[in-house]
Amino acid sequence: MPRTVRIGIGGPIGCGKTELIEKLVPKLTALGYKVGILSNDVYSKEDARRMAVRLGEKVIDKDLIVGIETGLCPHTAVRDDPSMNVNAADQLEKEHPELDLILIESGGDNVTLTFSPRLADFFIYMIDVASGDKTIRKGGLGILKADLLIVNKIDLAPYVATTIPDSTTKTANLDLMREDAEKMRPDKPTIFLSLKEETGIDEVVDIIREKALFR
Amino acid sequence: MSPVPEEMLNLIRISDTFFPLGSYTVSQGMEQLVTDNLAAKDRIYDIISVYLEKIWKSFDLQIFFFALQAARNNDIDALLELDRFCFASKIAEESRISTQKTGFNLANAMEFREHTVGISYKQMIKTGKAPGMYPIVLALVARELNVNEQGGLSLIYVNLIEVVASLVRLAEIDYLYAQEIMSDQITGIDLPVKQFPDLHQSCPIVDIASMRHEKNTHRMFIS
Repeated sequence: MPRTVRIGIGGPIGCGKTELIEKLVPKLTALGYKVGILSNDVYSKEDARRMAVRLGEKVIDKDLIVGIETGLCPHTAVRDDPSMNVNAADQLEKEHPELDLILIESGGDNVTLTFSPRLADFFIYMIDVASGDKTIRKGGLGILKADLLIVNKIDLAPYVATTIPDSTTKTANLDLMREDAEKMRPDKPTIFLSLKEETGIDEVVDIIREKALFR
Repeated sequence: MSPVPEEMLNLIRISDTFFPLGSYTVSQGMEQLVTDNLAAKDRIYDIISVYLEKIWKSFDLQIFFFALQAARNNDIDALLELDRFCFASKIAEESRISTQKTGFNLANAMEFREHTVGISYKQMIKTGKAPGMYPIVLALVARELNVNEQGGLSLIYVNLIEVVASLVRLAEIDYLYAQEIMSDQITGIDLPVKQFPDLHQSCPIVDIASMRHEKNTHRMFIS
């Protein structure tokens, strides 16, 4: 029997990984998909607790949200030695064979983060505009290898300074970020969105359905 | 230079921190001892000696030796009895579970030859018929890789790394001091063999620390 589809979500601290899950799950659930969540936190189970509160039992049973303390660099727990996450995902799948997909949130990490193919079948890397519009052109495995790149907090672009020397704007330059994404990952999708303003989330759902769930 | 024995290389491989045991998530109660100021730098040697003498050498290592003998005898019933005994003897819940998970990960990363006690027992672990505690699985692996009694070194080393590395990650000691500790602890190390009735694991300070640690909401390590 094929295993439940596992989607890894990684990115720096504060880019919006937890909020992305909180926005995705109700939409996926409304479409009839059954979702489980593994949330890695380096120092607590705070994200798992937060999701349980915010999503509530009407959207997802709290037993389907599993928090994991990694104690070490987040990329170790999802790539170098993902045994702990693989075990947790296997356990979740065993207890809930009805699941269609498991979302695995990495702890906040740097641009070299990737997921082990043993752990995740589809990999989303996330950054945000406020941490610098030069991030995409800097590259890094996360940006280059992710099946889907998400750039969050585009609503903040007018309020932060550009970090690209040849930008013609004084504030974060979304046009250059789009160009950079085209250059760095020409065959893979990138979505610019604002979780706060709830834009672009349906596009993410569509890509997950098309490229990860194949339905 | 003459060829390095395959057994030696395998012993290094299964003891290396890159080997996927998932043990980097565990501090064996050390995080709580640090929080309680019981692992100050001048006491670290003493504390680690306690772990070494009262837990790893006196119990886990002995379980390993008995399990190795059971593996040689193809005695699955004895392996299962030892496994359950080891499981029941780990008083702190997360310590018990993490030892079990480490065993599961070790079994999962190892290909046993067909028609061996190793492959049969691995199947029992996977189907939940055996706990699969780390010392038991390590014995099966040591047998499979012809490492045999030397596998006890791996057991001591992996446990030592867990605790010392946690001290570095908790910023209690620096990386060079950690190497001093490692060097001192493994130089001239002996692997004593005890009789079955002498088996015990008695280290209340670690058990209590582990149990208190389980209740913390903010922490780096599982136990």
